Formats: sequence, C-alpha cells, structure tokens
Amino acid sequence: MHRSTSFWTFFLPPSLWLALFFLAPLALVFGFSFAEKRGLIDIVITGTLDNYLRALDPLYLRIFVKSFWFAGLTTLICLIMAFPIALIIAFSSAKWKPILLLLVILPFWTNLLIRTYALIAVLRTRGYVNFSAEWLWEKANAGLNLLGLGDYQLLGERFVPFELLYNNTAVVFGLVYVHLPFMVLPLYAALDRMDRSYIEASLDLGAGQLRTFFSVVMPLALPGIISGIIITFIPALGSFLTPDLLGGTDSQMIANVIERQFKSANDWPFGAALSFILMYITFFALAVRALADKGNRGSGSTPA
Amino acid sequence: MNDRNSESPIIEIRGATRHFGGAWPAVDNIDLDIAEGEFFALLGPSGCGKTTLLRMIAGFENPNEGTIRIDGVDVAGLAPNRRPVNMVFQSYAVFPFMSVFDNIAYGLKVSKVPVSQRRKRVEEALALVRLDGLGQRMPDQISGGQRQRVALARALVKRPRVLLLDEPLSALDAKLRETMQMELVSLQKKVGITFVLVTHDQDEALSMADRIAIMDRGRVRQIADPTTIYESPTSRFVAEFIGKVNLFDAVVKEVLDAEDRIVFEVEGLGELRLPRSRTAGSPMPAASTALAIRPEKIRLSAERPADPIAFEARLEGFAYHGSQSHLHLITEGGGRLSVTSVNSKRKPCESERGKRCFISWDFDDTLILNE
Repeated sequence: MHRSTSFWTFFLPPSLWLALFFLAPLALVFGFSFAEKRGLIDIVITGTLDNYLRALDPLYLRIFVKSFWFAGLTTLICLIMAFPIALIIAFSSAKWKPILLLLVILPFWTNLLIRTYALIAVLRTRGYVNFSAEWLWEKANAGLNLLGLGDYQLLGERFVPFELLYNNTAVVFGLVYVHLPFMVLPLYAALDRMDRSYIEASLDLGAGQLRTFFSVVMPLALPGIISGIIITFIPALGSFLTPDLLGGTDSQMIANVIERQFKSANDWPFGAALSFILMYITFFALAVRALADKGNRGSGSTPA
Repeated sequence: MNDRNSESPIIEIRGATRHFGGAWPAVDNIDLDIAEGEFFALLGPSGCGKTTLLRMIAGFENPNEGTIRIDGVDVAGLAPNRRPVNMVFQSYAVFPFMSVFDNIAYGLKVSKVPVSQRRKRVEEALALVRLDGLGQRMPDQISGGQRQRVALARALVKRPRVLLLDEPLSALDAKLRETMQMELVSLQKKVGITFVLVTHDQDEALSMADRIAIMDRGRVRQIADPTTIYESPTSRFVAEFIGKVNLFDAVVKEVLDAEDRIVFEVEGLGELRLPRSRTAGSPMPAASTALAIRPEKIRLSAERPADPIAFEARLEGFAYHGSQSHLHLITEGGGRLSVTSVNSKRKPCESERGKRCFISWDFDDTLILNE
C-alpha cells in the first residue's frame, strides 16, 4: 500500500507533464493531418487522406529526397571526421582526456542560433574565410610583382570572393559543424571501453595498423558507430535552422517546408501530414535498426 | 632442455631498462638468456616488472636502454607484427565478432597464407588444443577454458619461435587451472616451441617451468630451475616469496677452521654450528646474515633427538588443514617457528597447547641467506 503511494508520487508528475505537453499536442497534430482547411482559421477533422496524397507530389518528394541526401551526407562526413577525433581522445592520457572531451562538448554551451550566425560571419562574402583568402591573394600578387610577372594578371584582375553562403555546400557544412559532437561522443564511448588487448592481439598476430583498424577496431566499435549514425542522422534530417539561415532558395529541407505550412502558407493540415511522414520515416529507420540488432545477436558464424 | 649450452639463446636480453616515471624503473637493467625449447617462467609479485619485460619481448613496450635479441636479431624498433613471437593475453583477447575458426585463421590471413593451406593449419591447431569440431562456434558460445585454448591455438598456428604467455591461467577456476597447467606443459613438449610464462603464482611456475626468473622491483633476483629456487634460494626475498619459510637473523660468531665449522648466533634460537661447506664464500666473524628453514623440513619428537641441530620448544598453536597440519612453536630463546607435518596417518598428531617437544633438522636443510 505504502509502496504504491510512493510509486504514484514519483510517477504521476512526469506522466502528467508528458501527457499534457507532449502526447496531447502530438495527438492534435495527428488529428490535423486528417483535416480539411475551411476558411482562414477553421480546421475540420474529416478523416481525409488528401494531405498525405499531396505530400506525394514530386515537388515535395524532391524535398524529402534532398533532406535525406543532406542528412546522409552530413552523417557520412561526421563519421569520417569523428573517428580520428574519437580515437585520439580515447588513446590520449588521463590528463588530456577531459580537456579534449570538453573541447568537443564546448559548442553545446552556446545557443545554436548564435553559432549559426557566427558561421555566417565566417563564410559570407565579407567574412573571415574570404578576408584570409584575399590577404593571401594580395601577398601572392605582390610576390608575382616582385618577380616581374605583375603585368600578366596571373591571379585575375581582382580578387573574386568565394561564394560560400546560401547554397547546398553551406547547409551541409553547417549541419556537419552542428552534429559532429553527436558522432564523436558515442564513438569515443565505444572506443574508450574497448579492451586494448584486442588491438595488441591483432598486431601480435601480424596485422599492420591499418588492417587492425578495419578488421578489429571497426567491428568492435560497431555499436558506437550505429548509435552515432542514428543520433546524427535523425536530427540532421529534421534540421530547420541551418538550412533556413545558411541555405539558398534551392537548399530547403523538409522542416523548412513544414514551417512554411504552419506559418506563411497557413495550411496546418498539410504541415501536420508532412510532420507525421517525417516521424514515420524516423520510426521506420529505428525499427530496421532494432531488427538488424536482433539478427546480429543470433549465431552469425561464417566459415573463412 | 637437451644440450642447451651448445646453441645460442633464442632470447638474449642485455641491460634492458624501462622507466615509467615511478619510484624505481619497471624493468631495471635486466640480463636474461632464454634457451631454445625451454619453458621459462617470469615470477614475481604484482608490479615487479615481469609483464613489462614480456611486453618488451613482444614489442608493445620499448626499452629505454639495453638490447633484446630474438633468434640472434636485435629487435629494437621492430613492430610487434614483425617479430617472430606470439602472445597469449591474460584476457585471451579472442575477437568476439569472429568464429573460433576465423579467430585462429586471422594471423594466417593477414600474413597471406593461401586459403587451402590456411584451412589445413587451422584444423591442425584446433586438434592440437582439442577443440576439434568447435570451429564454427562464436566465442560467447564456448567456455572460458575453451576460449583460452582458442587464444593458444591462434598464437601457435603462426608457428612462432617463442610463445609468450601473460598470466594465461589466472582467469580460470582452481580445478581447471591445474588441468591446464599439465596440458600446457605437455603441449610445449609436443610442439617444441620456447614458452615464456609470466605468472604471480609460485605453484604454477614451480610445477610448469624448466627455469624460473624471480623478479622484484624491476630486477631479477634469482634464475634457476624450480628445485634450486625452492631448496637453495640465495636471498631473503626469494626464500620468503616461494613457499613458507622460518627466517631468523643471525650473526657469524666464530669461524672454526680446524673443525671446518662456522658458529652462528641465531636470534631466538641460540648457537648453531654449521659445516663450512654450507656457506658460499668465506664469512667474516660478526657478519650479519639470515638463516632459514622450511616448515616441512623440521622434525618433531618427544625426546631430545641425537641430531646436531635440535632445540626444545613449546607448542603455541595448531591448525588442521586436512592433508597436513601447521604447528606454531616457540623455542626457549623466544624464536617463533612454524612446522608442517603431513597427516600420513588418520589420527592427527598431538595438538595440546603448551606441550613441550623437540624440533630438529639436517645441516643440508639450513638455508644461509646473504642478501
């Protein structure tokens, strides 16, 4: 009796919170996705599937594909960049480990919006990258003048700044920048708890460093790799701020479309349907992962 | 073992030193020769440097000073994968995502042994460690003892010149450990490869090795065969580390050249006369030393025995251990001794506290420890 009282004391507040502020709005949006717009603010839930059918329009499908492509590319670049970082942290001395980890986590201490604006300051036409490039261009030109080659305009008549912002590259760059820690941390966790004697055994048996990395370290870190891919890919897929601020007209992702439906287009039912399609895709990806996990756990022996 | 002297050693260590920044070097100026085909044990308490020394042979640590030669070749700067040695790790390090077969084949695969030959050699290695038919199992589907055999097979299949074993039996339970000790010894005789075993378990070293190096604080204290190590330790450290021992501080009182005897004044026992031949070198009077006697070498009797070394003592305590009993005695001089008596009869020996009796032992069993 007493135990059940204390159980409810702890269980009820968070459950109520979740029900009120998560499940209820979610249910509302779910309902809207089967609704029709009547007039400016009237929405009537009629059970129609029109919103979902409209999402299959090539215009929106292209944006879905583009979102997948951005998120996938971001995840791949993050994986390739994060592996060496995670390896270095995992193999550094006890003194350096917390410092390096702090450097990875440090960007989280700043608001995403501010970080993204900072990126704009770096990448824009009159930004730090172009300043540096211009400085190099001037120095190189001065060098050429010194050699008496100044008249040939080998480096062009004027410095032409790089177009670094408001395109697809800027969006992927921004997404990689934002999501890199999400890849580094699970990889680091997997590598850090790995028994070092596996690596030594591989070296001892005649394998080189590279062979050991691909044949022993990678398979042992696989759970970390999969976690990293999931927690990078899912938020990257639903990114709103980065494509909104860094992207051009051609680099909109699905979240930008959803935002437009709820705001400027004032089409809540369609926005709700798009949101739920994104959720279904995410759930589907997680389910595939869980199934693959189940398959791996059984006997997976193969003869050499 | 046979005619060891005629060949040059397979492992030749000269002045090897490794600092890790501790109070003393992990490995401190060690000279060591290990002969071809030998079963060699590095024995010592934890932190004595035995594992570091083994890892230097394997190539996972590099000596700060000194040289290591394997099969006549200086291996300085040679990566572990280029050395003709293989290692069995304490944790076995059997790759969990590969089948038993693939684990054993891994070393052959990376050194590009053709598939047909690879298969044959893996099957042979499986048979050697009696794991026939388990090749397709995954490591989590076999027992700890079997995983240990996989680690052994995986190292032996590479046909190394030397097999290094880092505490290979410490993770096994007592019964299995004993079986594996005997198996390892017979396996070593069968394959004829030099084995270097690191262990902190004296029983393991004594029962398995041809020769033992006792290490302490990065230094080798004594290198000898098991019998010599146990019966003729040269230092207090070795005598106390291997087996049980009764130790007494002693001072050389007199050297009687005419009788060829040395008289010791032993703390807690009194005067003790030993033949000169028992001591190495020529002890000077007043030199302090230590005498030691193993508990099982002491005889007990009710009447004063005729032996030249005999003391009267009082029984202080008694502990029954089944196959043997440990008796704690105090001599008239106040010296404490423990005596092991084998319970060869069903009725254990008398165990009345405070009982008077006599203890005695032979000249030959008295150990004189100069360090």
